Amino acid sequence: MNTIVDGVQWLTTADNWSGRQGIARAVYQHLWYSFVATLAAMAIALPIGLWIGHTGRGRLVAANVTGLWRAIPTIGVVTLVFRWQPLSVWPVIAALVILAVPPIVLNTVAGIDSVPADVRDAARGMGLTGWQALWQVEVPNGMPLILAGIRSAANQVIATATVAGFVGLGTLGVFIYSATGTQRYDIMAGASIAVIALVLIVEGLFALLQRALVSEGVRARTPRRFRRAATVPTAAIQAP
Amino acid sequence: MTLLADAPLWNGRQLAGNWDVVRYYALQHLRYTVIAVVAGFVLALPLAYLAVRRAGTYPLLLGVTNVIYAVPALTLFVVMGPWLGFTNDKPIIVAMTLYTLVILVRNIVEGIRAVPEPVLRAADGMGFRPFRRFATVEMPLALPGVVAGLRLATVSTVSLISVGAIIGRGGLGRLFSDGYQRRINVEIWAGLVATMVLALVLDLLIYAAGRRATPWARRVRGAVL
Repeated sequence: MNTIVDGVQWLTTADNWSGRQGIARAVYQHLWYSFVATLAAMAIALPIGLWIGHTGRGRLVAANVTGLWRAIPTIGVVTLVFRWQPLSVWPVIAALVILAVPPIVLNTVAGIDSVPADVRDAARGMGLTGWQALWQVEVPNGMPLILAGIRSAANQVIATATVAGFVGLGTLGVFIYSATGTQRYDIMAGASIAVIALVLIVEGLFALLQRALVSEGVRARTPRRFRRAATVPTAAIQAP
Repeated sequence: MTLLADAPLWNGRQLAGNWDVVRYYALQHLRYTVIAVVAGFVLALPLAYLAVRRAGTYPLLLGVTNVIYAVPALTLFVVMGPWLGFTNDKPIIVAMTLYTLVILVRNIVEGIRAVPEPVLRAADGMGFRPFRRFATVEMPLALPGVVAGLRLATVSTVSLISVGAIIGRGGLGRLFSDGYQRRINVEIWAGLVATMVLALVLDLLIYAAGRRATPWARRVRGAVL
């Protein structure tokens, strides 16, 4: 408990925030890497997820590939890419993008899947083309789950971005790694608290985003469908 | 990095002749994974039971497990060091156990919640008491969700244990830290591939066990198709 108090003290000391080795810069790096990695993962994962969900093809392949994909060890990717491209941001970005792709793909598929069949039929019956049905009906209806996937990915990315410290690329991880060596447990606790705080803040931002992006009609019936459709057949979609 | 007396060391810059190193760490990796997932499951069951019985505790449980998941692994190792010791692998196993909770609790709870209401009413009508209903009706019917959770938890644990590498431990993760320090790319590749193979094998095993345990799920699917 004392260590936590010391950690908070370290965090709230103004001097620790400034300079090249300061907390402010580390937080900025942490968020920047996380943001870039999550965006890149979205650019890869959303089209794949939408395509699988819309066409219904490749579902089995996707489930298995993402399963194996998750097994890729982050530290392994970081060290390997570091050997290849040292002193660039690539080791961290590559590892984080790999981490963020599976939850977005799976949740996007589940989101499109969760659109009731009669709603889809209605869209077709009104003469919408496949493309129109996807953007005007399936995506808005699947939005809660699609966002849940991105949120889950962002969570994991922020919690994992500390590995950058392992290869000296900044982020809050730097404090944690160097503190292990110097046994400065107050710094370690403080930096960890900061990481948790970042995760929670981003979580809160996603809650706001959810309010803004999910249409009112969908929101009203979300909770139940969330439970029913989201979990049973592909319970695996709810990544940590 | 600490060198373990009995741990084999990677020799040269090639894979040949180093299979025993890979095997040694793969077996260690396997052992940690099994212990962590089993322990996590044993912990998750009562928590899930609580969340199902008292729905108010569910968001709290999700929040807490989420926060635990956000704690950097290295911090967890160090936090547990004084209790579990710095020179053994217990902190890694305990940290992995805690990480599995975020997946397992959620999947077990959602699996149970998906059990159709009429089934529960029938069980109540037959005079099942809450615990018996949980153990003999809800859990078996929740198995598909539970198995999915176990698969996910196992695969993520296999992948996550490697972070133990940063304190010079952690099964196949050792190959990453060692290959990184000694600049042996092949060793890193070997660790990467071995980790994924291990995850794939365990995933398939649980999948097969799940299929055997839920024959009705297969039959229903067959009927629909």
